[in-house]
Amino acid sequence: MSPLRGARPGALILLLIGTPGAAYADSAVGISLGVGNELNPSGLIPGVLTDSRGLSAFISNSRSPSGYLYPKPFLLPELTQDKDAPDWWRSGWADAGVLYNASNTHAATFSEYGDWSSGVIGSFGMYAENRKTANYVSLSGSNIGRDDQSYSLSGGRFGVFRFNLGFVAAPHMLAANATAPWNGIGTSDLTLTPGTVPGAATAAQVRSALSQTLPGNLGFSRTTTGMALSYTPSDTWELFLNAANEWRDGNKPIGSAFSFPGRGAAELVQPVKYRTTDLSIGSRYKGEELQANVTYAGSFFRNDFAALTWDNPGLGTPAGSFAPPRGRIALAPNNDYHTIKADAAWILSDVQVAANASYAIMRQDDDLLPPAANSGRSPVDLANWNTIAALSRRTAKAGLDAVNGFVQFRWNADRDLALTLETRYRNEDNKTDYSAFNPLTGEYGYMGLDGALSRIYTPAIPGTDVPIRNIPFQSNELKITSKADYRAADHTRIALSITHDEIDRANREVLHSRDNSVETDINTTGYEWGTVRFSYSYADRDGSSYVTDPYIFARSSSLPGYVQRPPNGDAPYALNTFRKYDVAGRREHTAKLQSNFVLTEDSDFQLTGSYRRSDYDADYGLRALDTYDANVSYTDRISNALTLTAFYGFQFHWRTAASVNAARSASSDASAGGPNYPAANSWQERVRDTNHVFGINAEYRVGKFSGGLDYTYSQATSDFAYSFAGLGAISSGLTPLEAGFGFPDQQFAHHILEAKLTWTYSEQISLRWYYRLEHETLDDFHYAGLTNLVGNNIFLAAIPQDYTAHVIGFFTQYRM
Amino acid sequence: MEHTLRVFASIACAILLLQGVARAESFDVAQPASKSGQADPHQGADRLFGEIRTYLAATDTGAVSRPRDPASGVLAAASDPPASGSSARAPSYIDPGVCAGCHTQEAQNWAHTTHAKVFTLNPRNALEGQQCQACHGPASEHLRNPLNKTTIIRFTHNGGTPIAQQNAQCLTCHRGGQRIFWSGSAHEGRDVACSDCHNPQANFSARGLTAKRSINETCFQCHATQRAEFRRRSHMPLPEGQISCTDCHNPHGSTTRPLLKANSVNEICYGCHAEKRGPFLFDHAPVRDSCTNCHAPHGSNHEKLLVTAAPLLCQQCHIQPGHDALLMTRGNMAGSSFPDVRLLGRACANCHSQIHGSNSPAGARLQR
Repeated sequence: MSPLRGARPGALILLLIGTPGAAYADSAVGISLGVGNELNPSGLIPGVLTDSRGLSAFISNSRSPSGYLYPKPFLLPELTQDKDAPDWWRSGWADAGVLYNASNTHAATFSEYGDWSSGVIGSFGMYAENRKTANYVSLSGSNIGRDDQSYSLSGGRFGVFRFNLGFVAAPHMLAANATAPWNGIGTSDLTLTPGTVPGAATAAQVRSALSQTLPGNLGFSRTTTGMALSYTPSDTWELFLNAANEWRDGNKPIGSAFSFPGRGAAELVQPVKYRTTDLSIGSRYKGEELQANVTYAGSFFRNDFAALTWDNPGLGTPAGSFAPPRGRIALAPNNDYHTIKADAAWILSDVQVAANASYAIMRQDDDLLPPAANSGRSPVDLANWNTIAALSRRTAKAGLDAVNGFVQFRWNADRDLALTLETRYRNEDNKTDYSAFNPLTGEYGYMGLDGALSRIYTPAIPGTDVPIRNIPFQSNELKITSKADYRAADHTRIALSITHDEIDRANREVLHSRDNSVETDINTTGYEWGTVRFSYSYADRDGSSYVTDPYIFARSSSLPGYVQRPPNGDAPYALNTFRKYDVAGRREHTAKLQSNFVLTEDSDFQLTGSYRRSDYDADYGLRALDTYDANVSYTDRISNALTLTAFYGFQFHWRTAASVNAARSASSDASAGGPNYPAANSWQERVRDTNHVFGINAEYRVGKFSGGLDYTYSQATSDFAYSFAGLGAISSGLTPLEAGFGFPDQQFAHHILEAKLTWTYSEQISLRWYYRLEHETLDDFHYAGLTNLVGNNIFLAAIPQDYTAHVIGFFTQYRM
Repeated sequence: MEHTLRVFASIACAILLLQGVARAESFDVAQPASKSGQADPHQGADRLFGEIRTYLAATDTGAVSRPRDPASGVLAAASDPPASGSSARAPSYIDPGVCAGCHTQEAQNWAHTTHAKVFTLNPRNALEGQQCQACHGPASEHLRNPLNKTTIIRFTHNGGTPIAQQNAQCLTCHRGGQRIFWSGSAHEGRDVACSDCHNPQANFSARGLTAKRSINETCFQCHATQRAEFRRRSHMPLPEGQISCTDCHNPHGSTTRPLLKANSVNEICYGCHAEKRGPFLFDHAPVRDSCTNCHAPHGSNHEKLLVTAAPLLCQQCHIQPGHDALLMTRGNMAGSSFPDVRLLGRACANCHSQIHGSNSPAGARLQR
C-alpha cells in the first residue's frame, strides 16, 4: 500500500515562489485554511498565558449580552522597538520540542486527521508593525515538517489592504490494516500476482496472494496552498481576491462486482491524485443606505486518473459463463464550476430591502470510456462494445445550470413591529443528455459489468427492459415566507412566520410538492438572569400524486415496438404503496430550546434541547423519524486562577422503515399483498441511536504555572431491531432463529484526556509538558468477523481497530 | 453500563474535590474577585469616580468637542449648560486618551486587537480616530456620570444598551459585505448580539476576535447539539482544528435558512468534495438533490457520516424487483450461515460503488 506520510513537496515550493496561498476566514466566501491542528485545534500560540486580571478593573467577570461569561484574555507580550529601524515594532516566538507516541497502535482513527508520530515538533510566529506607516507583517508555522504542518504569511496596511499566503497539510487516514491480492496499489492498474490467471483464479491463489501482502495504509493527504488579498480603497469599497490550489494524494477503497448473486464482489484500492483550483474575486460596496456585493467564484477539479482497471480473479463465475478477465471503473471526472453572484441591500428609514441573484454553471466533458474492458464473446461479440466507437458520443457533455433569486422586504411598521416578506427562487437545469446507443450494432442499451451482464435491448425478446439513456434530475423551487416580529418588551421578541414552498421536479416520483410550515419564536435575551430562546414549527408537505415509476422514458420499454413480458406484462418497477422519503408527503413537528442562566456572578448554566418528529405518508419505505436531544453545561470561575467547565449531552434518534421483498411472479400487479409483493415477504426495521457525551475542562494558572485539563467521553449505541412476516422476507435457507430479531448493537466509546502544564521560567522562556490519552472501542456488525475472503467476495478487511494511545510531549518556547 | 457509571461517578467526585480545593485556597492575590469575603471592585470605582470629578472641574480635557463660541472661538466651559437650555447634555467626544485613565486594564487588552491597530495607527475617518468612542459613542456624559449606564454604549450583559443599538453601532463600520443579509437572519431575529460572538475588547482567540477560543467554540456556546454531534464516530475534522463552522455557514446571515455560505447544500459540500460535483453521465437522484439526504454533516454514529447504516439506508428508497428489498439479518453477517455481500463492510456500495454518480457509459446502475 502506498504510504500516507509526506506532504506534497511541490506545493511548498510553489508557496515559496508566491503561488496562491491560504485564505483567512471570510464568513461569506470560500473555505478558510489553517485553523489549527489536532495538537492545537484553536491555532493559539502554544502555552500562551491568560491575564487573570480579566477584561476590566470594574467588572470581575464580563459577560456577553446574552449572558455568557467571557474567557480571560490572553496576556500577550508587548512589542519591542527595533533599534535600527525605530518605526518598526516586533515580537516573535519559537516553540520546539519532542512528541513521543508511547503506544504501539496503528489504528487509523487515532491518526485520522492528525499526525501523532514520535519525533521533533516545532512551531513559530513572528509579527512586526510599522507605527509610522501602519504596515504590518506576520509569519507563522505550525508542526513543521509533519503531515499536519501549516504556514502562513500575512501582512498589509491597517485599514487599507491585507494579504495572506498560506500552506496547510491535512492527513485523512482511512485504514491501517488493509490487505489486497493485487499488485500496483496506488496506480490505476491492479494486477494479480504472476501465475494467477485473471478470470480463472482459485480461492487458494487469492489466499496465497493475500498471505504475501502486509497490511497497509489507506488514506490520502490534503495539501493546500492559497492566497487572499483584500483592498479597501475607501470607507465604502472593498475589493478582494482569493485563490487556492488543493492536492489530494493517496488512495481509498472502492467496491466492484461482476453481477450478483454468485460472482464475487471485490473491494479495490483506487488511486487518489486530485487537484482542485478555487478562485473568487469580487467587490463590496458598503454605503449607508445602499450596500452591494458582486462576486465571481470558480472551481476547477482535475483527476490524474480517469479510470481504475483491475484483474478480475473471477471467483464464483458460473460454469460455462463468460468470466471477464478485466474490470474497469470510471473515476471522478474533471469538472468546472463557475458562479457569479450579486447581492444588494437598501436600508431606508422604515423599509429594508435585500436581494440576491446568482447564476452557476457546472460542466463536465471528460472523454468517455468504452462500455466494456474485455474482448471475446459474452455471448455477444465484445469487439462491438470495447471501443469508443460503440458510444453515441465520445465525451460526457454533462452540465447543470442553477439560477437563484432572493428578495426580502422588511417594513418596520411600528417601533416594536416588523413585517417581512421573503421570496426565494432556485432553478436547476440539467443539460446532460446521453443515449446509450451503439452505432456499431444499432442497438440501445450497453454491455454491463465488462461483459458479465448484457443490458442490450433486444426487441425480439419480450421484456428486455434496460436503461437506454441518462436521467436528468432537475428542479424548480419557489419559497415564500411572511413573518411578523413583535418586540413585546425590551428583552422579549415574539415572531410568527408562515412559509409556502413550491417545488417542481423533473423525472421524480412526485413532480410537484407543496411544503407549508408555520413557526413561532419566543426570545427573551439578556435578562439579568440570562436568556431563553424557544421555537416551534409545524410543516406539512404534500403534492401531486406519487408516480411509482417515472423513469420509463429512460428505459427500453419506452421505445416503439417494445413488447412486454408475456403473458401479463412486465414485472412492476416498484411496490405502489412504497414512498421515497425525500419527495413523499411528510408532517413534521420541530421544537428547539436554547437557554443560559447566570447562576452567580462567577458561574453559568446552560440548557439546550430540541425535538423533531417526522411522519412520512408511507406504508412502505421510511415511515417515521424521531430525534431529540438535551444538553447541559456549567461553567464556574472558581477563582481568578481556575475556571471549570463541564457539559453533558444526550441525543436520541429513532427511525422505522418497512418494505416487501419482491417475489418473482408472472404478474404485473404492483400492490402490497399481490403476487409480486406478498404479505408474507413484508418486513420492518427500526434503528435507535443513543448518544451520551460528557466533557470537563479546567484551566488554571498559579503563579508561574499554568495549564489545563480536558476530558471528553463520547458513547454511542445503535440498536437495530427487525421483524418479518415470513421466510420470503429473508435470505433463502435462513431459519427464523438464525435471522433473529436484530443485529448486534453498534457500540462506540471514545475517551480523550489531555493535560497541559506550562512553567513560565522568565518573560522569554517557558517549558511545557503535554500528555494525551485516547481510547476508542467500536463494534460494528458490518465488520464483525469480516475477513479478506468471504465466500467469493474479496475484501480489504480494513476493519475498524480499537486502540489505546498515550502521547507525551515536552516543549520549550522562546519569546523574542 | 456499570463501567460508564463508575467513570461518571469518579469524575463527579473529582469535580467536587477540585472545586473544594480551589475555593479553599486563594490562587491569585493580584486580582480582586467577586466571591463573598473578597474585595468589592466598586469601592475602587467610587474612589476613581471622585477623582474624575475633581479632574473635570479643574481641566478642559473632558470636552474637546464641546461647542465653540462662534465669535471668539473659545470652547464653552465644561460646566456650561447646553444651548438648548434643556437639562440633558448633548454628549460629545472627549480626548481619546482620557478613557485609559480609568480603564487601564481595558486599554491594555484592547491595544493588541485589530481595532486598536487600525484606530490608532491608521484611522481612515474621524470616527475611527475617536478610538474607544468609535464603538462606545461620545463619552463626555459618561465622564460626568460614570455610574449612569445610559451615558455610553455598552456591549456587555446587563449593560443597559439594547442589543439592536449595540449591533447598529458595530454595523456603522461593518455594514454590508459578509453581513449584507444580517437583517432578518436567524441570529438577528433572535436578538443575538455581535458581542455574543465577538469581543473587540481583547484577544480571546487566534483570529476573528471571537468571544471564545475559536470560531467553533464560539458557535458551540449556543449550539451544544452540534458540539455533541462532532464527537461521534464519524465526523468532519472540526474538533481536530482542520475546519471551522464558518467554512459552511455564514453566521452573519445568508439567503438560506441554515445560514449556508452558498445557495444550496451541495454547493457547500463541493467546496471540499469537488470530485463529487460532476455532473455525471448518470446521476443519483437524492445525491443531486441534497447530500443531506444520506449524510449527517455534523456527525454520525455510522460510518461516512451516513444518517443510518446501509443497507437500510438504501432500502428506504429502493424496492425494485430483484435483490434490493431482501431483509438483511444477523444470519447474513460474516461468519454466520449465509453471509451476504450486501450487508458486509460497504454493504450495497460493494457493488454500487459509484453511489455519487457514474461517468461510465456502462454505469447506469452506478456500478462502473
